Amino acid sequence: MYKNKKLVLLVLFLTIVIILISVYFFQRDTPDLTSYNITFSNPDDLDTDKYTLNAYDAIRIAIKQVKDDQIVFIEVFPIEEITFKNNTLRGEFWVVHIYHDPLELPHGSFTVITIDQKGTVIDIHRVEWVIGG
Amino acid sequence: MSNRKHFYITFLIITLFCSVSLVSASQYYMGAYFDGTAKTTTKVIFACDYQDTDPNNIPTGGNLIGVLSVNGGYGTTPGEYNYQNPFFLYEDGTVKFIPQYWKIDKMQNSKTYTVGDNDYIFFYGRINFKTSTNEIEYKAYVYPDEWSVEHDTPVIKSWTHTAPAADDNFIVGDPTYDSIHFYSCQVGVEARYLITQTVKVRCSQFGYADGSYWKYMPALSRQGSTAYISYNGTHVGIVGGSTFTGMNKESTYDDVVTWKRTGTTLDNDVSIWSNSGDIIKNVYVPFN
Repeated sequence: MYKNKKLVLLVLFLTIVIILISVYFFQRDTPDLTSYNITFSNPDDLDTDKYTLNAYDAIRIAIKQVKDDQIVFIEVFPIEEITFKNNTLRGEFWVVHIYHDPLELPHGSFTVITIDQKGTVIDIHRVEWVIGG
Repeated sequence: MSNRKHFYITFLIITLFCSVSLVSASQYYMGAYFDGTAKTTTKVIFACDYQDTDPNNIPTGGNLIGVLSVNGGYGTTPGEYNYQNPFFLYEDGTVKFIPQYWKIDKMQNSKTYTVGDNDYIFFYGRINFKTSTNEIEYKAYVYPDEWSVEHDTPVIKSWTHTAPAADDNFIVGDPTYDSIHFYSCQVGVEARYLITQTVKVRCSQFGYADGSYWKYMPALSRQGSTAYISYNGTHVGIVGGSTFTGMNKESTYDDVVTWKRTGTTLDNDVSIWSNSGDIIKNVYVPFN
């Protein structure tokens, strides 16, 4: 009886842990996009057939990469040519800018994420913006 | 108090003072940027005037600024320097030409010239990258009245400094670099304090030298919260820093925009004009 009780408690504990972990990953995999202020460089981008990866998928991928609850604003752009350190790539890409700090301050930061047509993040870097004139 | 304590307190005060003076304050800004494939140039120009503005509508201690900003670079790769030739209008009607250049968020140097008042006809501002002497030259061409326009006899002010080693030229157009969209050459309206009454700034003949021609590209709007102009790999320099709430365009045609505070804020990437071409000159001296 005592052994069974221990086993039941262990199973119960493991079940709770598994549920918590599942909830955690489920939340991470499906971020609530309604809580973010999302703008598109062109509202039609969302409906276009031109890009096989739609903008919301790009945003979900981006948010998972950033893992930052300070996100206040997201901009999404389709782009056909990107340059990293003087290397130019041509194709169809999504660029997502995720702002971490409120705008209208003398400085802030944003994460720049570039995603290709397969949904692969091909570049991610964070930059600070500052007043320059 | 011991000498050491004295030293520490003095050091702290000096450090605090330096930190405060280096922090650039956010200003309200709305601009128009050249929308097109990035090109290099060595000369940029614009004109502005405040003839339809009552300077009393500028808040006390504030200003209203017509400004041309251009990014320096090596070829079309955005660089960390940004060059500006703004004309500041103050509450008392005085206009000052204050050319300046910035390394990301640090102003490197500037010069102030009192050049006129709000009812002058044109204030032309031109910036030259003088490759022969490796200098940046800022020039103001001031036309006080109709007579000076008809006879093309502006009052000229100029200021020169050595060009930063990193820069070879100016950039016009809107290159994308490291997946950031830069607005390399902009003409806009800026203010220290948010203006809530009607003001107008007319910016015209916004152009760049292409060989022996002065040209303009199509232009789109850009608010001061995302008017990215300079870059050093980790920091992006922005013109203004804050959206000029309530600022709109009253009228536009090729290479001319009249910014007017109407209470409605113009969105980003709205067409200011859609054509490209050669600048039609009203006067010739600023273009020589």
